[in-house]
Amino acid sequence: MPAIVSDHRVHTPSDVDDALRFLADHRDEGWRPLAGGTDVMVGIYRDHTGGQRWLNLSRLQAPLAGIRREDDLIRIGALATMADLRKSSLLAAACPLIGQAAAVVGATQVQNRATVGGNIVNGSPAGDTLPVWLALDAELELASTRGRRQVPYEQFMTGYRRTVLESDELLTAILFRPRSDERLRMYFRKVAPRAAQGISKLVFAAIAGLEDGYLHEVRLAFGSMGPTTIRARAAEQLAEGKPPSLSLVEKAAETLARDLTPIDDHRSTADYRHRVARNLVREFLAGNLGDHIPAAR
Amino acid sequence: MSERTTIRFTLNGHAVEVSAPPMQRLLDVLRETCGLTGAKNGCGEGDCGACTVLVDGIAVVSCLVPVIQIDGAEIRTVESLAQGDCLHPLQQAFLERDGTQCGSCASGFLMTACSHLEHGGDTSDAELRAALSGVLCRCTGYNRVLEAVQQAAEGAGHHAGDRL
Repeated sequence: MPAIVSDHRVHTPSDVDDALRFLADHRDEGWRPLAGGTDVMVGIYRDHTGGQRWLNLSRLQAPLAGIRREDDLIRIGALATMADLRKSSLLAAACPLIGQAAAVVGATQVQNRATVGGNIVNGSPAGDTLPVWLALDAELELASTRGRRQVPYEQFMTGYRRTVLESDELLTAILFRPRSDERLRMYFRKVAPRAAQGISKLVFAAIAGLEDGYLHEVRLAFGSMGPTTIRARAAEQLAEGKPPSLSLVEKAAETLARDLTPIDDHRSTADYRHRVARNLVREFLAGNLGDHIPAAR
Repeated sequence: MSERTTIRFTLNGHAVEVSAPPMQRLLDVLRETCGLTGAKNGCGEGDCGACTVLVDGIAVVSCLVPVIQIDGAEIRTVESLAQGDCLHPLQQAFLERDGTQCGSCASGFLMTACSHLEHGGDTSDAELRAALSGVLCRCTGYNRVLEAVQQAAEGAGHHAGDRL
């Protein structure tokens, strides 16, 4: 056992108010939320990091792990686990991409512990659920003793493992508008070295509407293609309002490089990532939507 | 400095109390403090599944669980399966179908399968492969493991009184 584990300090609040008060009283002392621990523990034991301070959220599951409809929105508590996401019939109906993404986060033993809030706050560009929140235009609810604020997921990540979460704030929920309209097309794909529990070379989540043969509200969201999760805005704008013809699909794929900035690293190369991203966008726009291309157009 | 916390939990049916650093791995507490070495220390990163135990009936990789988070929980390890000389149906099936070779992954497979079957999990090839995909075997291969779990599940179906 590395001696370093002794240096960590842990505080376990009994409810959300207690947690927020503690964070407010100990602002800037470096307390970080500890949810399922599946990333935190790897960091501590592989990298031998010590001396950290953890706000253990394990007693806040009752208020913070629920998945429910709230008016026109779906609300996912930040402590819902990947297994909860995978098994939720409410989420399967509201957006099947969520369950698909949750099912590829590690294996079941990890999915039983890993939380959606942890995946988001951890801020890794390789987080498997993250492009889904981007494609869904999801909002995050951040709570502190100063009140609650809602931040679009797209504005949450500001850089590699950097977020707008203040040191006295907790992520409490993810909110999004359910997408059960049959005219919507959705796509999720994780590309990793093997089928089970690899770390992503890239992740892609996409949603688009198709009305009268024309694309609208196109969302092409990527993970591991830059320091943050990222939307391919140029390609989205190119596709917006147009029919998904083969020439459009090609143009959209070639436009991806304007937004995507992958790197060479131990998991893949920038070149390979670009090539796969183009293929995934082709498959989404042409393959998934191809049935709806009017024959005479 | 060595901040330690007192943690109380149920381990294989017995109440235990340990004093440990709060971020110590559950795996280390089980192996070093409690003396139960059935859960194996493999990759330490949640990939190999050799350290799988059940926390409140749910399969988790104990290398990624800080012990502070199991206060009040019910932990079951592979040591809980056999009752004296009487093997658990899963263990018996692993024995009969050669589901284990070097043994490093066996407790991980047994506990993962145990949780899957106790929760009424599907035993079709595809579902079972997905359920067991978090345990890596480097010698015997996966087919015999799959067959053993299916045999145990069928046996339990035939004998309603069995412990599965």
